Amino acid sequence: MNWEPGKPLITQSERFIIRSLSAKDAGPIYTSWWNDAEIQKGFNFKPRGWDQQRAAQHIETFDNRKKFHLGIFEKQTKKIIGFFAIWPNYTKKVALTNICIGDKAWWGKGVTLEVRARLLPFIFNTLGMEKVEGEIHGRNLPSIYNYKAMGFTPEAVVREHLISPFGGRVDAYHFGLLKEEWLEMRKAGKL
Amino acid sequence: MSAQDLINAKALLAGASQRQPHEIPDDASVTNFDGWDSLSHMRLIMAMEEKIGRELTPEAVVDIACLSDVAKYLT
Repeated sequence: MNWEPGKPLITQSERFIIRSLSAKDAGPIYTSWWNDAEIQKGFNFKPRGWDQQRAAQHIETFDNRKKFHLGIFEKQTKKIIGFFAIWPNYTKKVALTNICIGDKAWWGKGVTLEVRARLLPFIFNTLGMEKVEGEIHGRNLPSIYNYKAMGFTPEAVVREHLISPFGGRVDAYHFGLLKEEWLEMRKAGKL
Repeated sequence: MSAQDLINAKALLAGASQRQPHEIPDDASVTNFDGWDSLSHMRLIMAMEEKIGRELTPEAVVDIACLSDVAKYLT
């Protein structure tokens, strides 16, 4: 995968182009996801009330070195349908990731599995990580499924770990995948 | 796991995945049954909770990955 630290990443899976977002990608579709109650609940946030300028500022905080914010674009229409974020810790060699499928027409259609499978070689081989982590805020059942289906291990349920913006507290679910586990699954043809 | 447990689990997974029970293999799991996607998983957990009359614990929720897990938490 062609990539240099600080430069945009671009790759593709079977159905999607996956590339680093830039401020000009902060159009109405992308911005709307930050203001969508159903989507933001998955991040344990209320709708942010962002305009396109604020969304662009958010994108600009990602440097393609220590923080990646990758848009997921449908190949045929070139329409953005979601994004994937990576925070590699080069000291610990552990990367935290998350994903948002903003276009609800794509929910339940295997986007997360396809995109994550495409990016794991980048995270493990190119970035040199030895573990990938995911944290789910609250009882997000589709996200839990996506980690389980990719062989991630549920490592902890941290009870009432977060304050919910909707009142009360919510659990945090921690999942992890070690590089050797990923290699074993690839060898077995599971990824 | 009894035969009836398996039948009950298959019925719930069939409903959640919009398939017929006979289409669900005995060893169905999140990795080998293509009808078991993220949305059907959500429907499955909700149907399980409706059936047992209580919310599954977080530990149970993260444990469920195959048909026998579904049967286990229904009993």
